[in-house]
Amino acid sequence: MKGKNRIIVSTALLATAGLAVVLWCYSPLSLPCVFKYITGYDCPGCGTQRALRAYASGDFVAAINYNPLLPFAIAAGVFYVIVEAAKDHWPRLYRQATRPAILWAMLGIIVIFWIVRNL
Amino acid sequence: MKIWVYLDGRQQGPYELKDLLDLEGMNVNTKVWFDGLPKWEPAGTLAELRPLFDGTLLQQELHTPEAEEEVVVEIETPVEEDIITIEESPADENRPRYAPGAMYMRPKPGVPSPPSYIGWSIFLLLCCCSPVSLGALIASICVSTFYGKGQLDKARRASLWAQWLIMLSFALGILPMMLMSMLLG
Repeated sequence: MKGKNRIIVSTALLATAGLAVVLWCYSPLSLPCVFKYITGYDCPGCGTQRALRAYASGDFVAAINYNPLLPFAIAAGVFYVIVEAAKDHWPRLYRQATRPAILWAMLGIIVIFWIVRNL
Repeated sequence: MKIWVYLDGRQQGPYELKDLLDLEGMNVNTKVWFDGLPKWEPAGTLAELRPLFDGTLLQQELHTPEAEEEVVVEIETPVEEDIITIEESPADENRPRYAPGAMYMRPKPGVPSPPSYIGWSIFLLLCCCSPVSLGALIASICVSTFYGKGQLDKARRASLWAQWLIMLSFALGILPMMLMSMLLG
């Protein structure tokens, strides 16, 4: 996919995902986590739905308790989608942001969080 | 020092020594000539060109201020036949050891990284975490890692893996969740 198309597709996907999250936040539907259902352990994403609902109702403390990683993960996800979509425009930012050391450190944080929250 | 190189069936040059770092296809067997040589000689036999083949020149070039922060060392594999062996310089622990006949090439600018989909992998880990999402995230990171090492083929393969794992993770994560929520009420 070339530069401009990539930006359009990425923006559309981000907007769709955002819209789905907002719509679903105010719907009564509650989706169980497959990993938790099968193994009984929390996954790194467990608590996302409860946390989002808590944010929507303004209860930030409860939201952080449900999933402390959520705000950072959303910020990182949005940031990386944008940076990668616009990498032709900001090649230097892309190179700096996708340095392997940073990415592996992020993976490390997620895995440690995963283990710690199940202790 | 002005250096002429016999490459691709023709005489090329003049080059400065550091220009040779960008010369595709150059190795120890490539015939070169500069002022003071009686005839064309294989590059590997000349003390003046030694920094090309032991990595010292590339290290110098990459650590000049205008060089990029990311240091990428790509070793050009030489042609198999009649390789001239160069004696090893005194061992330097920090420097990568070079294969006989290999030349240290400056990383090629302008070859774009294949897409790593890293942002989407992070999202997937949040909304439908399964071991597959973790695999997708690892594949995404591998794209940047291999690209950073100059291993484009592996980076492309990792990019494909990331793409398929993201789709698989979406299918395996979201669809069963919806089915379960419908069945379980």
